[in-house]
Amino acid sequence: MKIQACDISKKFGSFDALRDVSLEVPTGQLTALLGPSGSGKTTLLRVIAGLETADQGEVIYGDSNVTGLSARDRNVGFVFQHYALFNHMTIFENIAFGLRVRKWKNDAVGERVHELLKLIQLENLAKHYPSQLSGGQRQRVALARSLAPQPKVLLLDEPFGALDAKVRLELRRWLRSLHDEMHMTSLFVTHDQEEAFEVADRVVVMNHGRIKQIGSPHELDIDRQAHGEASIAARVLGISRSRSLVKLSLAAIDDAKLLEVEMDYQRDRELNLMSAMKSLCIRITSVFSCRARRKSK
Amino acid sequence: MNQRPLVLEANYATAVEADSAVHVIDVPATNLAAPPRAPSRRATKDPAWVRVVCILGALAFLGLFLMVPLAVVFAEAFKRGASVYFASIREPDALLAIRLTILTTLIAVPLNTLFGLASAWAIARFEFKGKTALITLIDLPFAVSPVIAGLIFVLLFGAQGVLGPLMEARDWKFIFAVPGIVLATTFVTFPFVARELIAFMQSTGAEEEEAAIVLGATGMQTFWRVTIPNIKWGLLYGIILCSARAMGEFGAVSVVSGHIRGETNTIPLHVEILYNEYQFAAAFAVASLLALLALVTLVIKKIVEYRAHQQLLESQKGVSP
Repeated sequence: MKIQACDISKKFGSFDALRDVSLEVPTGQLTALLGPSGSGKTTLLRVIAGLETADQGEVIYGDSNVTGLSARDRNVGFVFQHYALFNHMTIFENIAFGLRVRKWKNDAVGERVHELLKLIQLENLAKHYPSQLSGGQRQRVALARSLAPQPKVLLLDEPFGALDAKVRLELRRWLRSLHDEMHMTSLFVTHDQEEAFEVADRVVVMNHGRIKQIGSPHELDIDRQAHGEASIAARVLGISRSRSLVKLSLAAIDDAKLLEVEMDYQRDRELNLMSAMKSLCIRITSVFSCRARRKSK
Repeated sequence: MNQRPLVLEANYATAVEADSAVHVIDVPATNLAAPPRAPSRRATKDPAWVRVVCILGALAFLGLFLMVPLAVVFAEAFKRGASVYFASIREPDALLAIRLTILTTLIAVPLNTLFGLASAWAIARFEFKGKTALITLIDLPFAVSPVIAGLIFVLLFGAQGVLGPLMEARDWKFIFAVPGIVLATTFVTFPFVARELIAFMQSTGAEEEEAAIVLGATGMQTFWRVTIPNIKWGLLYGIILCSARAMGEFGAVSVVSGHIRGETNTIPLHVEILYNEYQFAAAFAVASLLALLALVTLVIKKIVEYRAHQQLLESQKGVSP
């Protein structure tokens, strides 16, 4: 079942979280919403799930307009960044929750939960509580819980964001293979382009409440080579300063060196600014172009 | 594939169009600062004599203002023997006072639990205009002197009050009667549950409730199966504090009760009357009941605090990987 979002706008106070966003998630595909924090990607996902109401615009699942429906009646699976497991319930009861509130019979609940526990390979932990599990295990439980009531679409909000690098890598490959088995229409939010490119069939790049680009990872790759257009999240590895020059070494999330930037700073005022800032915008094209290439092994 | 699949490279040689690219790079502030040094123990430690003086001072204060009065209450209560002690508690007026106190607590506490839940839910889970005003309003009973709180109700419902004629016409009695006592107690103890729950609910966040709703739970199912188990220790803590205050409230109740023996006397008022009549042993005997209740409350409070802390630790463990 495909998901359509048409002309969605959403304001938080005076902040435009989404501006006239239209998006189509094709049936059976895994689509990634990629963008820096504050780009509106999570808001869009929550609007599609029904956890947030848009100021304007419509959400359509398949042929039915669900704009007026609450999250409860949309029958979606939703996975939260911080798992949002019910800490006072066992793993079994966590997964069973969506079935119990739908008044499934006890036998059917047991059968379905065991099926899912098998799928996430945690059958022996059914009687444990979430606090006894590792982060990766918890996120798998959260996924199983969201799949239990057999939703028509699966929405994931930074599902690997709270995990460490190694587990993140394992889990996203597992998610990909799971998706290849089930072919459920899925949309997931991430700020990690590597993640988006590795896992998704299609990547939707967002920034400032708008969709900037849509394409397969391959298409976007070529596109970036041609135009040098992309937003990347990175952090500073090191700064060296001389009298009039600031040199920044930037790294992507996993510490691989990404690029080095040299900037002319003649005035002290700007140097002070440098030490206080939290984010940095560089109009790369005015200095040099940025080329992407795919490396395999 | 253990290499990153995508590598961005700066290429200084390539010429480019002017306006196509904006790169946003997040730089965590911590990377720019020097790494924090482990605090030196030596430097933060005070000299021995300062520590001794401070500890002794605190102990002396604690003993003088908390332990001695508590001991005196029980000592005076049993001064004329256990038989006098139990006789003064079993005396009809005392029993009626105890009954009225329990009745008042049983009405005021559930009401404030309900109000507290509703207001905490509204404040912790929704954004609306006048939210800060509402928070301030909830704290009002703490800011107002209990005597003034009692006077408010006398001025409102009393014979000379705004609603006095109306009450008289219907033959309703609020002031110098049980409803007035319940009303005054409810007013004074209003903030306990609400304040406790607001802090608790704000710290737990709404994600689990959202998860329940997406899974198809109704509002009621979400409330009973997810919200209540999450906030139960905070709720219990608020209820304990509220009950302790409801049982011990003197000022507001004193103004509205009219001190009618065997009718509108609560335990604190009964103690005062006995004391004013020079029945010291009886006064202290009844007072010791309140002191006992306070001690029990403290123990329960300690247990609940411990459990709430454990739960908080667990939910924090739930967030970090």
